[in-house]
Amino acid sequence: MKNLLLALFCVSGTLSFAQTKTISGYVSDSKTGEALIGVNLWSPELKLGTATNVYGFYSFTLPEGKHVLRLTYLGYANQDFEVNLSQNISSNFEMIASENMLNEVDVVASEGSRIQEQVQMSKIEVPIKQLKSLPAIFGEVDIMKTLQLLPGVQSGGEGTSGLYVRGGSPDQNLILLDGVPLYNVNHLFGFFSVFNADAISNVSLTKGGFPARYGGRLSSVLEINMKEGNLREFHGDATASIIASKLTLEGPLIKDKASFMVSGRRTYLDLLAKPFLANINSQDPDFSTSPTYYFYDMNAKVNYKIGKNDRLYLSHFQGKDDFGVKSEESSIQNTNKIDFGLDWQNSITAARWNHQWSPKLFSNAIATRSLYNFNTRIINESSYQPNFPDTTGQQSENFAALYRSGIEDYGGRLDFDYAHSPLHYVRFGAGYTNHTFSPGATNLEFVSSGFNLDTLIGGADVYSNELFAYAEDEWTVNDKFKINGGLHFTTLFVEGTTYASLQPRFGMNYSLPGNIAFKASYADMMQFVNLLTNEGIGLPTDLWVPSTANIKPQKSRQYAAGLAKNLKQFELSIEGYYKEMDNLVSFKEGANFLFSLDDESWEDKVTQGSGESYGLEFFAQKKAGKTNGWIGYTLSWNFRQFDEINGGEKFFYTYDRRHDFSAVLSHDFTENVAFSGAWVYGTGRAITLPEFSFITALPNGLGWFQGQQAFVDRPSDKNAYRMSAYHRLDLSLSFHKKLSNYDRWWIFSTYNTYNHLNPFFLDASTDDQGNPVLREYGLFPIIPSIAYRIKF
Amino acid sequence: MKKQLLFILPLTALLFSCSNLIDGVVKEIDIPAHNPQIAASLFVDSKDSGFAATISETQGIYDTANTGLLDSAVLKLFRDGTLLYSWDKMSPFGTYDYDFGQQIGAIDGEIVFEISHPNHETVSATQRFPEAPDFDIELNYGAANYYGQPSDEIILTLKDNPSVNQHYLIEMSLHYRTSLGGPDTSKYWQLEPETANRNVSILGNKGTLSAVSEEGIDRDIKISFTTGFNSIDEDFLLEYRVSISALSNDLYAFYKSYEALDQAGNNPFAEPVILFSNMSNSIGSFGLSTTTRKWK
Repeated sequence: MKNLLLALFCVSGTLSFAQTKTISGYVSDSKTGEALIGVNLWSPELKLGTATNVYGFYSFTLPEGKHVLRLTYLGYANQDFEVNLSQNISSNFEMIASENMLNEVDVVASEGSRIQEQVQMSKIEVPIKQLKSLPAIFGEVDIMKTLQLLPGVQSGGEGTSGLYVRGGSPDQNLILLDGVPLYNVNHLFGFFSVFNADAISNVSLTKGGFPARYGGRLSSVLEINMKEGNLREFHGDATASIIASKLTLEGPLIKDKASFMVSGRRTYLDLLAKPFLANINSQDPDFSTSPTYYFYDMNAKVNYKIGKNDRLYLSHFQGKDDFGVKSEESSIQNTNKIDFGLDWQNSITAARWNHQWSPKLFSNAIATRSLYNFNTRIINESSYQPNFPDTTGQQSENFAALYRSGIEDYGGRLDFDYAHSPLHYVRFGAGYTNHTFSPGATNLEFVSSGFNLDTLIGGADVYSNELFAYAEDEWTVNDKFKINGGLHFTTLFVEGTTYASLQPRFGMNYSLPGNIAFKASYADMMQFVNLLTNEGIGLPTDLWVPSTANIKPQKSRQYAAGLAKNLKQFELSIEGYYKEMDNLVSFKEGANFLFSLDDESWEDKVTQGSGESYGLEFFAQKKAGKTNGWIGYTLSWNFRQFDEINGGEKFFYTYDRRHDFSAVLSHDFTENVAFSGAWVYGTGRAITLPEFSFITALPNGLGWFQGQQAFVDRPSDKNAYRMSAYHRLDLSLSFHKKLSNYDRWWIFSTYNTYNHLNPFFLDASTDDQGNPVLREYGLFPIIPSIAYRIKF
Repeated sequence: MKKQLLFILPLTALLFSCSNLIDGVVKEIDIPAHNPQIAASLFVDSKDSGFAATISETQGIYDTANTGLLDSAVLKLFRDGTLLYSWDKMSPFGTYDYDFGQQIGAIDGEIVFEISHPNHETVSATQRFPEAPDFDIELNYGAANYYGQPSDEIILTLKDNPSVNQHYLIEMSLHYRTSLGGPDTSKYWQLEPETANRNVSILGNKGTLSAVSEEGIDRDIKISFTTGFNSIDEDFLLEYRVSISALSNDLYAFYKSYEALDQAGNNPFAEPVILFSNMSNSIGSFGLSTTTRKWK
């Protein structure tokens, strides 16, 4: 790698500048004062540029003298500023949101922000405005479901929120909410994600070509930033849909200095169901049942500009799902109460401090906590009065099984941005995380006449410490050639074992004739956490477990190459990738995790193997304008190989999807009427079916007697069959009206508009005549929904 | 007109889909066709004096016709290409038995098990008898603790066979008389082996047997057992008998996958299990073991 960089340096004609000065500062929205992420600053004369980081900070080093700086940002009017760089200067810019987004001229990408000029490949940004305009199931806009419509990203199945990126599994996605890893992003068993679009300002997904600053996961980095809150005016945004309502408030705490944003959402299925349940329960006095389900989430953020060079941020997210069924059945002598439930919750907290050390050097320090818990309970209380109504001889039995698992992280990291020169933008930093894993423990209590059991089975906590450091340089070698090279070092200390890895990262952009960019990248990745999941159920019972002395860390190597070009208002890209993965973790054949009552640890139930995926992605996107949207297509292959699964033979990953197509369209008919639609198609999921049975002899020790025979069901080879193809059309129509004190929208949408049966699971059973049948069960038929939104 | 279209189009789509909605969200799909095949299994130990092979015909899970054990098969056992045994009669118990009156012993060479049948393609599997296990027994009277009571402890040292993965099936019995001149009584118990050797996997208890395995590392394996008996309390204790079978790699793989199958049971959340096969058609198994017995 070192030799390659050296060779590139020698061979390429390099740009050089004798005297340079630096202009630095923040770019924000002129109306709200909120920092803008990714604003492009461009020098048309020198054809050099930079962009604001995730805190809205920029540092641009240019030759001494007068320059015109052009600021461009999607949805904002382009602005030119003349600056005289006779010395280092600090300058904050404010950009004016384009009031009339129907003006197509505003949305043509400008020089410096075009896809063919960026070194980074395999990265997709979906503007929040576009994201919120898309059709939503039950009227709830969902970021994760929108991301599933992008090429290279697949959904796990009908309704689920997990992302399967370039053949990876959901645990291989680093999901950062304000820089803090979030472990479980599911509400309602995965049908919704925990991200409330009203509280979000920015979403970007990186699928490959990972710069050195990223680490800890193999397949993708999803960065989601919460809104900072309006620094100048108080505002609110409220939406009521058919299953949930949400409210977002934001405003200044100290004008132009400190602001807040708080957003909450809660479902009300449980409240709506109460009258119906009361009616059911009134019909049978001996039986009552009360199922409940709700989820809520809450985002809050405060930011404070301490001075010219310092800013503080405090972010918090809290979300919980709670599902339970309580029932009671009684007769003259017997009473039986059952309480079954499961709940899971996420919580993250981050405190950040931005400091500008010099015009060229910017730092961000962050302290984080991330918590995920999953709990299940089964409680049964029964009593028997043999001599009713006399209570003598009464017998009672109480049984409780309480299962818990979870993960808790405390961490910190320090990142520096150093704008060394017009040609070099250097980033470096380091971080530390302390993990505490609770990989599933069952607390059993049983109290009966003369017997008392209270025991804890399995699941001792595992502690680990993770350290990383990185350095990367984005280097403009000449006007045609840019590279981003770096190294990411990571190490894990767990159970007396140390794992370490030095990961080279490389990305390049070479400008071909016709303004077409040829991009290529290589990334070596390692991750120390694993999500154990039984294929097919996708419940939050899936367990997060660490790498241990026995379970080696997952590794990957990804190679990607492609072409990119801006064609008027469209960003076009075609990319090919090849990814190898090692030490993937899977349950062994026959294993599962639901209430395991034996004394085996989770490590005994898993096995490690390898994976391979490759494919081709085509993406055409129009990010803004009266008509916007994208078309994405992925052709891919995705395999797994485990010595202890499928007889050691390579097999298709269950989410191997040969063809994956999506078309997304938003159109503003008028200023007040907007339409959007999305159509997706995906090859059916690979599944294992029971295939045949036979009789086998049993060797000594496996039967009750010598020479015993047994009937054995033999499933097909792993994932040898396919479910039916998945396709769906979603439509949405919204009507906006500006009233005296607020704006309001009526949003009508249909999910699965032509009511296609998209298989959720497959079951073998018998029909009315007793003949065996295979049935695919769908989850969602057509779901029309309506939502009402106000903004003030 | 434009506005009207806005309403008409989604409404049409809704109405159009109503018929689908009535059908619900269930769809029957074609059942994959199944082509019946031979499923053959035979497990032979060096101490065996006969064979009992099971030959069946596979039956599609969704087939309504009943099939099962397969008659008219011809079974052959070859050593290094030379026919050793051939047999073709199925017993009333559904096994193809061959009795040769004496222990077969751990025959040297490549053993091929071949099954032919007029309606099926011939299938076969190849095995070698593993080396006989070499082990030492150390008996410590009353040295262990068994639920608060002193108990005998047996420590087995299984000698490594270099470059060969070690797979063993261990069985112990206690032989004693309750009175002088009384009958020789044997007692088996569930073994609970313990080992400090890392990488040794204990497959769990197969009744009174325990399977122990270590792959990839050349070294002796030391395993201790708490017997639950205290010899000091037994007036007429005769001896502990230890029987250890070295399992071929394939036979051990069969034990392991059968245990996984057993563990999965009918749990719909368990990962599907493919029972190990080393037959040429990937259905059924042929396994060999070599047993050594010692007394203490």
